[in-house]
Amino acid sequence: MVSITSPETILFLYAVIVVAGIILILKLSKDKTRKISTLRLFIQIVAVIAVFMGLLIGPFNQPGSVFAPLGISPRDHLIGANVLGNQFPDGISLPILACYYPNGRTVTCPIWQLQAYIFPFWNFPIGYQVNYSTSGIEKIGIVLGMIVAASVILGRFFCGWICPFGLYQDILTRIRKSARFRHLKFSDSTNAKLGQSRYIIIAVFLLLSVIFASYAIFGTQLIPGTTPGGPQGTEAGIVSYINEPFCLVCPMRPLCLIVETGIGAMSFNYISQITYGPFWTLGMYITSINLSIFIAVTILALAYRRFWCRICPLGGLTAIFSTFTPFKQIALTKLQKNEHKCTKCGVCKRVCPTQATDMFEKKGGDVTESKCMLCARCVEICPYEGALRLEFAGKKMMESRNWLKENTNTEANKND
Amino acid sequence: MLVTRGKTVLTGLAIVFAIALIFLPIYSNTQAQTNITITPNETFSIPENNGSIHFAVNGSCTSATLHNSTWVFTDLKLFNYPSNGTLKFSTENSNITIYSFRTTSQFGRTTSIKYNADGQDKQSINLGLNTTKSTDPSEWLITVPNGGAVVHGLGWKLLPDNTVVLNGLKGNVTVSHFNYNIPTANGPFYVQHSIIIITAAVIAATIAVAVLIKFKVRR
Repeated sequence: MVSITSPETILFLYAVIVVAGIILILKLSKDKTRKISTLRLFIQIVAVIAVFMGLLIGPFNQPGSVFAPLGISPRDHLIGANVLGNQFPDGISLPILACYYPNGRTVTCPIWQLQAYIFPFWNFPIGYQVNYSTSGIEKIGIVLGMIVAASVILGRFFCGWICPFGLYQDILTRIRKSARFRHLKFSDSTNAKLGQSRYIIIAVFLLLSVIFASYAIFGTQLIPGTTPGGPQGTEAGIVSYINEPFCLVCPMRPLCLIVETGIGAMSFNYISQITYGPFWTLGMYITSINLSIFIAVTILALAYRRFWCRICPLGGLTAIFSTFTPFKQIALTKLQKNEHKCTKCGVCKRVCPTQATDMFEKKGGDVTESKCMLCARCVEICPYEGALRLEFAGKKMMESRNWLKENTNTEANKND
Repeated sequence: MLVTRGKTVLTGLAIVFAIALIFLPIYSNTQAQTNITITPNETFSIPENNGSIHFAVNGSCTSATLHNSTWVFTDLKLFNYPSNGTLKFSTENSNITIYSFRTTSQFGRTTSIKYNADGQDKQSINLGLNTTKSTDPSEWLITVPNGGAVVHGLGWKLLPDNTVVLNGLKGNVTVSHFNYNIPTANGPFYVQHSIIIITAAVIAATIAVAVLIKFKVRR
């Protein structure tokens, strides 16, 4: 008998709710101005549930409630791991902050993978509950391949519609709005510099990983204690605490750990273990930095819409493979502008969460830029029929429409 | 006509009943196969090796026998986890506390045992994998406190009958077998590197389709 909490039933119900939800939003909000925002919020929630599906359909082979603690470590019950065997066992890479550290995720953050496959797994075959059969360079090739394919197909649509940290920031924006505080804005030059900092951030952290992996790559250890294979041949030692250096400052990690521990899906022992461990002073120090960055990003995201997305190295990586030549020429998801219908009112520029400007400043055609998350907020709010549209493979997905006129007509009909 | 049909139905019902009556005792017997209850108070000692085993949780098995200094627990079931089959455990100069023994087959395909050893001498563990083939050491993961993985040959070794022999590992130890479909070291190149080949093919196909669409849209 199929139980109500069996994975099959939950997946089926989930699919039904998703399809019904999308249909309802499209039908019920047919004449509403905020149709795209509602749809986007719904898809963001759906995506977060899909990314952490293990929380719903775990624990496996174990009687108990749906939200019973899954285990002490991220890999204890990881769906999506092992799908590709031990050539690539850490889960499929998607360009979203699907943090490596929580339980039950279905896909994996490529930033973690890129760093981890340089150090410590360049040629060290044993990870935490995993044995790699492929070399570091091969795994990096697979990660980059997945990012390129995903970026060419959907580009930064992942940031705007799917990334869990994007949803977190959108919730903060909604909280700010409900408190009736107006958001702050960076000057265009500061915003441009923030955008450029993404590439510096990813370059610095990957370079750090290469320095840590110097023994494996060049045969010379540049930093003491970075030779994989510590006591009893483990990867433990100082390396455990400086593995994946970006993750030690990424604001997504504390958010995931706090939420999962809060709902009882992760054991606090695991967090205390990675916080203290044998190098508890260093662990605590790193965790304090991580938490401070998370708090700082939260405050900044309350003040500035999608603050993190402006400096997110993963967003930068996706932008490289979707908005820079030669990928820009073949990217399938694009924001298009019809200059003949644009009146230069500037509302698109004002509502853009990341303060992108090309859709306002450029004359027409493809106005997708590296800052653009394809969230379609500008498309939604532009009051000129067909001035802006979101395209996929040359087909119109969403288009701006004259909602001012529609609203006036509706009001007029009501008055009649 | 109706009478004949009624007789046929009755005969059919009688046959079904008879079959049920015959099979019920057999079924009941299967169900009633005596289970040995395991409690945390119980100790399974191995006097000749100066070792003992006990379980930290309640469980059951159909038989528990000491054979060649090895405890064999048939159909071992711990803490409501489904039965994993037979666990064979031997220890020397160490007291073992077993916390869990289970298989996750839905997605993980992992069989694992978690235990604590208070001495550093040898342990031999056979998880009763559902295979007669010898497994590859890379399918196994042995972790010690602090989450460290122990390299094959440096604290444990794998015997051809899939018995894991651990030496000098003290404290909380986890022995896991991941049932990956691992290509053998001698397998063809395309099998060993299938994922990167598929990834390259996917990128090539994506770019080809994207270029085609680009030309189509331009026209």
